[in-house]
Amino acid sequence: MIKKILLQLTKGAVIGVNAGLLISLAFSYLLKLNEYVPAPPRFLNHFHNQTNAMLVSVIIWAVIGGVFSCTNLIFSAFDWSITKMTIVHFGITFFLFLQLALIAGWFPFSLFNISAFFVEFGIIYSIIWIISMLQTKKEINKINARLLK
Amino acid sequence: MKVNFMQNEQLIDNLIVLQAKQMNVEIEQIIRNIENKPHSLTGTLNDRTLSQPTQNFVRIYTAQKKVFGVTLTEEIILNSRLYELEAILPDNFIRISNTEIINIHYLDRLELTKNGIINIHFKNNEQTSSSRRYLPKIKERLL
Repeated sequence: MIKKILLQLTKGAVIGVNAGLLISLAFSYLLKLNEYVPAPPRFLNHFHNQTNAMLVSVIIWAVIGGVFSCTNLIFSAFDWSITKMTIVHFGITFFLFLQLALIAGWFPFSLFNISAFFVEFGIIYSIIWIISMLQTKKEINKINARLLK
Repeated sequence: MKVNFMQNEQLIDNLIVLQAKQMNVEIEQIIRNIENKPHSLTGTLNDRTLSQPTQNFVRIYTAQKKVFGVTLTEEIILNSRLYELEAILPDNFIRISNTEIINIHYLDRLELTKNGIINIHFKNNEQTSSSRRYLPKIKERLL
């Protein structure tokens, strides 16, 4: 189990760093900046030099990737209902992701921003719940059709 | 391959005889299957020891650290642990949750509840529940 978690963490961290790099690169282009920046100014201002800012950004991307891929293990370890799994997954990921997003300076700390973030997350998880239910229903129908034969 | 059944009332214990021109992989496989798969499970019911043919079991589950085997007529307490049974039972027995193994021969239908729990209905009207991650295995075994 520990081996499984470590493997999942490493995989997630690699994906996280790659995604972070591509997204920050895309934003640097979209905002028509003259130089590449790994994060918004409100985050960069905490650092005296660019290398440190980049290092901390990479660490944050890795942790975000690790968190996401490890919370996925929840789905494969318990006999919970789809609703319970979705809510627990939502709770853990939202809480951890919020901390990281605030540290990374993706948005300023305010009740409005956090609420908006919560709503966005909620919409994504509602869609995940609906897809999970539909997929499961489809699987069950297939199995039932086979049982009738 | 021809299969014959011969009744012999003189026998004390049941005996399987396999005749072939030569030993080959197929025969070896058959012998291994006969030897390894338990044809009956032993347990207790009201402190009485009894044995039931494996295929009579509808479901086997753990509760209060005991393993219960449910047949069409009775429920007995089995001596083995669930993971041990999982390893030795024939292929039509599949795990459907952390605490339960079912015999798909008695499976009637599955049903998804509003919460996303999978209810399993058996032909003898018993019911139990499973979660999503076991569905692929159930489907595979039904093929």
